[in-house]
Amino acid sequence: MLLFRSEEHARSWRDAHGFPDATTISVETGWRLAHAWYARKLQPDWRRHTLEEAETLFASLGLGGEFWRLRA
Amino acid sequence: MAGPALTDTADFDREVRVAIAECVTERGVVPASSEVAVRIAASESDVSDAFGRLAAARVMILRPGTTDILSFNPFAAGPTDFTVRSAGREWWGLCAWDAFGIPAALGSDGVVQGACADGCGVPLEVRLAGDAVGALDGVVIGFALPAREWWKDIIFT
Repeated sequence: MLLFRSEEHARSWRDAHGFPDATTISVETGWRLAHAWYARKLQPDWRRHTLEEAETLFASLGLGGEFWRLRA
Repeated sequence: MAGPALTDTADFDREVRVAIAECVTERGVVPASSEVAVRIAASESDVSDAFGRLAAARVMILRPGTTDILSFNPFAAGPTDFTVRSAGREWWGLCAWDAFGIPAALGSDGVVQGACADGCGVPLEVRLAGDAVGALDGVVIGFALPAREWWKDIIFT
């Protein structure tokens, strides 16, 4: 997961490096995603998200479709 | 310092994970197995074995071919392309997601510094404070691979 100055720069990188499925999210969505994913990582009762939980989280942030699907 | 019985492995691994988290919280470092061993009064060999199991469980990432932690995600053990200032310390994340995750895990605000990955190298700074995000207009996070493929090569991802 990389930072890009703009969507145009992200597309340029995608085409140059051969990742046709590459996608982008806004930094605002990235912050919400990171917070939901990692807020409890340092807590003793932390556990990994299940695949179902992760997909539900992605969907709650508007991250849907084939790119964000985790289960076959 | 006898090793953990097989039935106690999950509890031991949890103890190791909590000790790693304490090192991050208290000292701002991702520890070596030797430091964790001292902290929990276990053998370094047993802690290294736990590191391997925790990595296999995707709790963290080890440097290839070693039992050294590369990243207790989101906290990278050493400098990367993503520097984060948060909770009065400087940190590193392996990727933008992890960099954003550092202030989230610390329960603090943060400033992420990186550069545009598109060769132009333009320095980029993202300020994360509560619900507010401050960055140059148009800055985005890019994902090269679909989610199902992230852990096939997590260091690349």
